[in-house]
Amino acid sequence: MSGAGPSAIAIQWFVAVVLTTLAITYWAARRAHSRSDFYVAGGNLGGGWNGLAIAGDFLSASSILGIPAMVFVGGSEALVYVTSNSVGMALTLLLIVEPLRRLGRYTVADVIAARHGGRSLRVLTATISLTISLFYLIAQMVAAGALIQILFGIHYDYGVSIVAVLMMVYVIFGGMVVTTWVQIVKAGVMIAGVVLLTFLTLRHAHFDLPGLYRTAAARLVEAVHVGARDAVIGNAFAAWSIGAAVAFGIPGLPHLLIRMFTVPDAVQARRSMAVAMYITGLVATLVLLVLSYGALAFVRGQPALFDAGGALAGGANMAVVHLARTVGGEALFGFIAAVLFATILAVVSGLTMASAGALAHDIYAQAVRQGKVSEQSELGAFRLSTVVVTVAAIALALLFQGRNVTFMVGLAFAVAASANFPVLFLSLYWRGLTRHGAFAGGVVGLATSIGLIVVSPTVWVDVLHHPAALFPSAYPTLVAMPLAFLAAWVGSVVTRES
Amino acid sequence: MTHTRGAPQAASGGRPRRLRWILAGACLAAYVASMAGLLFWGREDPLRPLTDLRITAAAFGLSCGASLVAAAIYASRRRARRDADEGPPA
Repeated sequence: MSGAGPSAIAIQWFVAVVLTTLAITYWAARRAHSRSDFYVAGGNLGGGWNGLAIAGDFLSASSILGIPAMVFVGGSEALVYVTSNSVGMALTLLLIVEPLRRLGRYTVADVIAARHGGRSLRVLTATISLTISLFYLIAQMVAAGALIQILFGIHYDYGVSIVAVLMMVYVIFGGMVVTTWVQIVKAGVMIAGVVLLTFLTLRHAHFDLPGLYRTAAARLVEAVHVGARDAVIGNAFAAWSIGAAVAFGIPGLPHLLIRMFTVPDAVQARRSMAVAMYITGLVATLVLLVLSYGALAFVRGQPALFDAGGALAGGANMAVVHLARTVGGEALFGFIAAVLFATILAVVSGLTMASAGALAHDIYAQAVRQGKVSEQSELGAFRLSTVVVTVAAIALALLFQGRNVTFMVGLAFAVAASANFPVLFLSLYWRGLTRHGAFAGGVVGLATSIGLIVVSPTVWVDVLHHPAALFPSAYPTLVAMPLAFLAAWVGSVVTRES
Repeated sequence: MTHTRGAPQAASGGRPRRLRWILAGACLAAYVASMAGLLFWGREDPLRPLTDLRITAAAFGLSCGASLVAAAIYASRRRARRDADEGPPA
């Protein structure tokens, strides 16, 4: 098949992925009984396994689909994202994971509460976690809907619903145990898939790497009119703001941080993060330097894959999927599509865990019931929270259909860097931070980042159809993060002797 | 100090703790250099960093390379100090 229609092999791979993950769910559900099992997989995972799971959690649709999609349409922000990713993971390893593991138990809010106490601060931290996770979740669901649409030729809405139901089943029946093993399996097949696709892309280019880049560059210049879109590299504020969002947002991502509680001690947490960095570094290198340029060189040259308006079948997010079909035929197309599907399932499971944990543990059990809640009651709340998160994810994915997944993940990073990172970092390293200071920092970071996104051109003009934006950039971190640090400092100084 | 129940353990000083700050500073410096390079070479033609592979590879290599080296140093140096580093969970 040369077009972009449904593929029998892809469907077989898809069914294999679904059956494998359901088998893991069945196996794990028999082992997940306690609150600790559901929230942190018992807390006894080895560092190497957890590192694989973190890589499986972190390498999302944004990394595999979104970066090549941005390069494919001439989006220079792709370079900012990939250069910022590695420093963000390094900062997480060097500054966050060990103290976080020592202070926390199930959620990020546990860490903040261990330092400061207080229901209001816990509710705020849980709200921030929920906001970040939902933004991130929307991006994954949008990618999932588009992927299933191209795989089966079925409607986007059904694709989103299939992924939502699967993630709900994993989390409700097996919690973090299932999520962990789905992420480990996904990391394994994704490394295999990316390495295989890289090799076949290079073979397709007759192992002439300079020739591949020359072709890719020529096709990009032909296709793209610079200035027709937001050229981030030409806009220093946007570039630094995206960079800050990613570099300081990664140490504030709740679904990444809760994985540190699945290992027994700080040493294993450190080892986990180091292993995850090596894996993500390898995958990012291959995706940026081979697959993104391979898609430009080989997919852009196929008019059959584009509609009359010049749009790629399935959208630019599907550039890598089309590359797989071009260099490896139907079999590779099916395998890579299944790898991407497994990727999305693993990431949405982690995000659902973080969201449901924040709702059930932080808000219901700790804030509303003040810790006076039975384990069974909290697990019931956790399952109900999972259903609520699933319904919200479906609704938001339908609303945001067609948006670039990496841009939406960027919004999650912006909130994480502006609202979560300042409070977490100061809680771990500044003795002068008070509860009021932490609260002020979190509120200012959350309100400023969300507020500036709403009044940016992307929402205020494109979605709400106002004539001009109130804030000139779609990327608020460069303003919101310093304001959050400032608010935390002022709040702490003012209330220190009270 | 009010409203502060647990002391931030990571803030306690000493030479072993210094390594993390030195490495974090080195990662950030490499990152800032790579971003500055992207902005410098893309100031007139924002597409150039994408179409000139030398710029792409240099910016990515500098940032990613520095981070991976820092992670390797940190993971190996501190592995020997596992007992000294271990603190009681709250």
